[in-house]
Amino acid sequence: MRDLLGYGEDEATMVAVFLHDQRQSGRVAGRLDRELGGALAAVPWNTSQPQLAAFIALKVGGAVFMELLIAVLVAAGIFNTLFVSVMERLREFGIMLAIGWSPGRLFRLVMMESVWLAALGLVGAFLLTLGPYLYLSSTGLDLTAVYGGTVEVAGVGLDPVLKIGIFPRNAVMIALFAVVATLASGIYPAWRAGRVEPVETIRVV
Amino acid sequence: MAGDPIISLTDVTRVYRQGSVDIHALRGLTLEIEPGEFTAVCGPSGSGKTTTLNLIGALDSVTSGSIALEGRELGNLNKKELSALRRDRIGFVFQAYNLMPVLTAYENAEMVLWVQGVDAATRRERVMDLLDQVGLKGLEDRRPSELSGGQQQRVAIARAIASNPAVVLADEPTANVDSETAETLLGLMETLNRDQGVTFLFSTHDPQVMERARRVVRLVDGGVASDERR
Repeated sequence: MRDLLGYGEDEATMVAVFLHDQRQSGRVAGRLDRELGGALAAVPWNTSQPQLAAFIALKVGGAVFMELLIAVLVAAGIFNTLFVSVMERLREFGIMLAIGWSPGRLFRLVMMESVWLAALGLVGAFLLTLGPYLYLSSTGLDLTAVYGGTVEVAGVGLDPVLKIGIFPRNAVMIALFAVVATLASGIYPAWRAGRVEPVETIRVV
Repeated sequence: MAGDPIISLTDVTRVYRQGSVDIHALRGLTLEIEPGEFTAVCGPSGSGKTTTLNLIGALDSVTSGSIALEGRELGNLNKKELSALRRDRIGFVFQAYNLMPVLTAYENAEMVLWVQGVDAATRRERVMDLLDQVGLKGLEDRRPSELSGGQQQRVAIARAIASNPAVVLADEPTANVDSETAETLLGLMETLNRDQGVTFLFSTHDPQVMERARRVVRLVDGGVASDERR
């Protein structure tokens, strides 16, 4: 390997292979290990840098918890929006039922509103986040002033310019969650709309 | 089946439970309405006028007894069938108009036809004709908040007759308008009754309505106290 890379006898004890996607490191290391035979060992980054891996795992765990918390809050917000919009229109739903709308039709109407809310929310969120995302993924956030020049975790120097990136699969998952949460949040308000008693809501006396 | 009543109430009672007290809104009411009648149901507050209209309109259900509309027992119909009955055979005119505030006069009148699945061209033709008949030509694009009480009630009448219903149930239709407007609305409903054969059943306190009605049914304590045909 030293010969191949042009290093002297004592010049390199470890060679790092950079990948575009760190998630492939286990697979690539395994394949390299098989190709190299028993003379050299190829290990993924999280085996060679266990402290860094532990630090990142801790951060990821915290981020997942925060994401779940945000997801619950988002779902509650969507539910609240739909539920309030239904409760504010009970009289209108009563009129609609009185003139011949069926409960099923009203259910579908409110669910359709949920679909529109989800669609508009997705488009709005995309447009709203596109600019900041492009900036943060290309230029990034320079944290040099915060960290005082260099950032090091477990002996590994990190770029003080923080850049973000979203894996396409994660973006799709987030979009799917938003749609599913919106539709699920719409079910109870939609059912409630269909259960309105016209006599009680339109007060004809 | 000429001569058969369009509406038939047989020994109808309606009891509401209010806390631990039973309120008897109707006590064995029996009444028949013939096709094409222009009938006013009057009586003091609490006599059961609105309850009667709500029950005939399938907005409420009887405690005992039976109601038939065009020979169909309402008690034998499920929710979906009752919705279809209200959509296709019954028109409602409410005291408080009950128009959809976000829709224009045209859209309010069109709504029933839209629910019926009538195509857009037919809807447009029918609604424009109706708004013309009720004297609202040129005001199609106004929302209820931009119309006077009388104009809103005209929209409600247009909506009520849009689907060519067998019967129009009007609960205190002139209660929220001045006497001149009430006179105009009554004239309009009389014309629709006479020219199109629509059966009208009103609940009312208004002497003007009672005067114009060709039949006046007086309710007292949930039962018929008098039934006068003119």
